[in-house]
Amino acid sequence: MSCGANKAFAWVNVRSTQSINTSLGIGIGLAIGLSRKFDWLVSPIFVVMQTAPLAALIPLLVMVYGIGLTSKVIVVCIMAMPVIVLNTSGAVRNTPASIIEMGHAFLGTKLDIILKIILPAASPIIFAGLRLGVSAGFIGAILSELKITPTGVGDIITFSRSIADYPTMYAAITSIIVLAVIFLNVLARLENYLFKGSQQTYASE
Amino acid sequence: MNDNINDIDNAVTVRNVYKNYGEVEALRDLLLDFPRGQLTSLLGPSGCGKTTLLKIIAGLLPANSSEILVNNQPLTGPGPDRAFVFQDFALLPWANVLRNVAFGLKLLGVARSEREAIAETYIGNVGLQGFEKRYPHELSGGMRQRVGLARALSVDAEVLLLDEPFSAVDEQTRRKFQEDLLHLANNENKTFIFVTHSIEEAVYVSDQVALLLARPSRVSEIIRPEGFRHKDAGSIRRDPEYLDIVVRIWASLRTYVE
Repeated sequence: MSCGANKAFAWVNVRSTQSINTSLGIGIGLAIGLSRKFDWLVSPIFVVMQTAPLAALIPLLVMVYGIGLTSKVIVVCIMAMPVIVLNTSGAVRNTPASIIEMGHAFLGTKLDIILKIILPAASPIIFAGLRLGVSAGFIGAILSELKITPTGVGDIITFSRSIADYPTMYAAITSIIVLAVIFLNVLARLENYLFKGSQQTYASE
Repeated sequence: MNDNINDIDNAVTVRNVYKNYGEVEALRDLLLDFPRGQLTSLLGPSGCGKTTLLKIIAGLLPANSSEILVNNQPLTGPGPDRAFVFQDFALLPWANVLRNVAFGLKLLGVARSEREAIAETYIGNVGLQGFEKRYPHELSGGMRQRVGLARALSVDAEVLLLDEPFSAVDEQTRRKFQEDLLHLANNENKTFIFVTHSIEEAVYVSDQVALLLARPSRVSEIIRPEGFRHKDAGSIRRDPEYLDIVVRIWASLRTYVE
């Protein structure tokens, strides 16, 4: 019973952390892509996050934030955010200069240009980053459940392995994989729905 | 050559334009008038600052100093009185033809049904009926530029700025475009400013050809091919005056081409 509740809790946990990652990641990435100063200030953090070996950082995080939810959310963020942020900022910065210039020539405001030109132009790469980020987030979630305190799926895996209950262990592993695949598929559908034509190459190339 | 500037109604007047790119002086003390309702070509060797001047007039590039009047108002930035046609088309790859043409109107805040109706009209005018739902990657280079032209026409600006619009299309399409542009210039009461590096093209379509010479760029000569303007599109290319002017321009330009 408590195991089921735990599992549900972990599931919600992963999902909400993923959505935090997604919105915050795209927001920060957009800001980095648009502003050189913000880039200088913030992007080194994400480069470090991306390169740092997470397993080595976990003891440090536990020392600072304890063994509770905070540490686990941070682990998921460290896994997922850098790819999302760095992909978004790269895509934003690589928006073809001529369509931005076109936006200025036809009297677009700054907001018009961001919403109607830069974001749609960057969306294929942003979504590629999201897919990578979301899968990395799942890895982070399982890692935190295994390495920090056994909860949720991580707990089921460790516990059932320790008592040699392999069917349960395999079921837990399979369920987390299925969940991740479903999540990624929903993301792909959303991308298709939102930006039908964006997968096409640039007309000027 | 500019003694009678006050007698002619100019859509755009350009005075004292200076523009530097770092150490390189691109434009120095440039002076040029664009008479209303006429087509003026900016012609010169590559890298001579034709496009720079056009983008300064469009308000897309700041000059180091300039006195530019558009409809007798000092230039402050991009404005609804000018529309730009881009060399590389600058179409939105995720939007179909209809949405691309209507994009300028969308940025001006025109309601959807109205802007799509206007866009439809101009899509028809440039000969793209039936392609409204196509995406840019499904069109040929010439058709893409027609979309760019329709977008610029649909905002109904008085001045059309064309930045080497035909340089990315093939030779045959280009000839057709030149004839269409001539037709457009005669029928629409607009002022055209046309950047090109093709001598024949400039002489063929222009009321006035401004010859720019390279770095720092200034207007070296203004040629007004008048004798054959009333002729039909087909016979201009055989006109002796047309041929003379082409030869004369090449004689002045050839020393500047490496």
